[in-house]
Amino acid sequence: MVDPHRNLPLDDLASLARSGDRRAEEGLFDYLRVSFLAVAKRRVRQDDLEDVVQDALRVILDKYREREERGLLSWSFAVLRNVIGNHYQKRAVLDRGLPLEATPDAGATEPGLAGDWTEEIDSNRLLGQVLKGIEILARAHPRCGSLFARVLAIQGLRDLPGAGRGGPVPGFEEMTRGALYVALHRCRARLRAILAEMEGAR
Amino acid sequence: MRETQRCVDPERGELLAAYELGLLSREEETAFEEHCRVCASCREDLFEMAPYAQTMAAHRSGVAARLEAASAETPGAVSALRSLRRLLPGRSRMRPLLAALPAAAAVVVLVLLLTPARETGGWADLAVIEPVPYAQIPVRGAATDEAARLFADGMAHYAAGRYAEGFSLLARCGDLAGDSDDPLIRDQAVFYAGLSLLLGGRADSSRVFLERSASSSTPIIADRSRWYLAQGCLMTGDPAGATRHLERLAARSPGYAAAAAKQLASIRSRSSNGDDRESPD
Repeated sequence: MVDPHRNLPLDDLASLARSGDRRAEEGLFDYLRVSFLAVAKRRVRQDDLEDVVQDALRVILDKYREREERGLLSWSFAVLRNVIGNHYQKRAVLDRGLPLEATPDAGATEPGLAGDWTEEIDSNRLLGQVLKGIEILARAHPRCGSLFARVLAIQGLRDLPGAGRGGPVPGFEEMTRGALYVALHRCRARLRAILAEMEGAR
Repeated sequence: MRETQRCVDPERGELLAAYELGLLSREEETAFEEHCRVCASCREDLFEMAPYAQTMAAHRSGVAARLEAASAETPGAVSALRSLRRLLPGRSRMRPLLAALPAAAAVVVLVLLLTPARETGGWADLAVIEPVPYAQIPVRGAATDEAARLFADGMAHYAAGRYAEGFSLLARCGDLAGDSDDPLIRDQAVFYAGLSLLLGGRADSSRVFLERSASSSTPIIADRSRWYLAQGCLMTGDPAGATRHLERLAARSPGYAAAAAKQLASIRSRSSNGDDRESPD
């Protein structure tokens, strides 16, 4: 029997799961678990790997139903980053032999709180970095600035009729959909390099 | 951010940015997610950028507005003149430069040299920022006609001291030539784009370009790039960064060794005198 969920993107699986589809939820979390293990094993010790991934999945399980926006995978990875960050912090405290209660962020090491506290602490810093990075990008690569500005001004091209990579894109008459993807990819690589440089300079 | 390995399927990998921005069709989205199961490069890339992507998505209109403002902004001659009038008294050492350059270029260069001096702890007055006389290295072969045209037009603006216009064309040329097999025109375009930014008052932004051209396999382009990177560091109050570039030039560059050594001596002298005058904020 063909699995009806097989060809669905994660956002659609999440949407089905929110409405009570157990198989969709299983498919979603299977995907996330495998991806998280692959990412986390490069960053945490083998002994801690399973715990870190479970903590992140628990946060996502607690929160994904309230979340309406698309971009579930990016959001999930952001949660995993926070959990890994908390893990490092906890590990550093333990390695120094201090009780967890001695640190102001001790509560943050609770898995259920991971998303909240980092979002709150980091949101302004992140927004500042993104705005600065995007400004540098726009000045250094005006075409990238213009492209991002136009894309961000629309709400997505996802459900346009007749969408094929060779087809035209409304609002971007000068390029095909495929060319737009490639141009965005290159501009994103530049933005990433700029942000990495800013991170390095901090 | 850490470096990642190569994408196992670049055609799929090129969907990454569009995926993050929510532009893909359902089929493309599924295809990209399947790709991420097996492609560590894209998975890592997505992971590393996740907080930024989230932030951009949450502040779409604010980011778009900032982009438009940055794109529309060019160094203004009027404000440059006002700044110059305000700053010129007491800066007589800069006057010979005024006489040596066309008036418009001199205004821009002087403002660049003087303005950051107030903001970056006084290192900018050590910077030597003069336009490189344009002498094109003969280009052979593979650059597209469009890239060659952009380069020629961009350099015409550069030679006339119209750095904002020059930069715009040279950056586009660098993009186009980046896809060709001709690194020379690309490296030149990227270098002059960076230098145009520096001359146009964007020392911070110029680094992105000059660092790219500093990795050129053509020694003169690489050395020139390092020299201007060092000047940019001084303009932005980063003597340690300048020292790093200058030390390399002093040790290895036939063309810049003497100038680099002299500038290094000035930086060290000022540092040892404790005269770095860092601003309190």
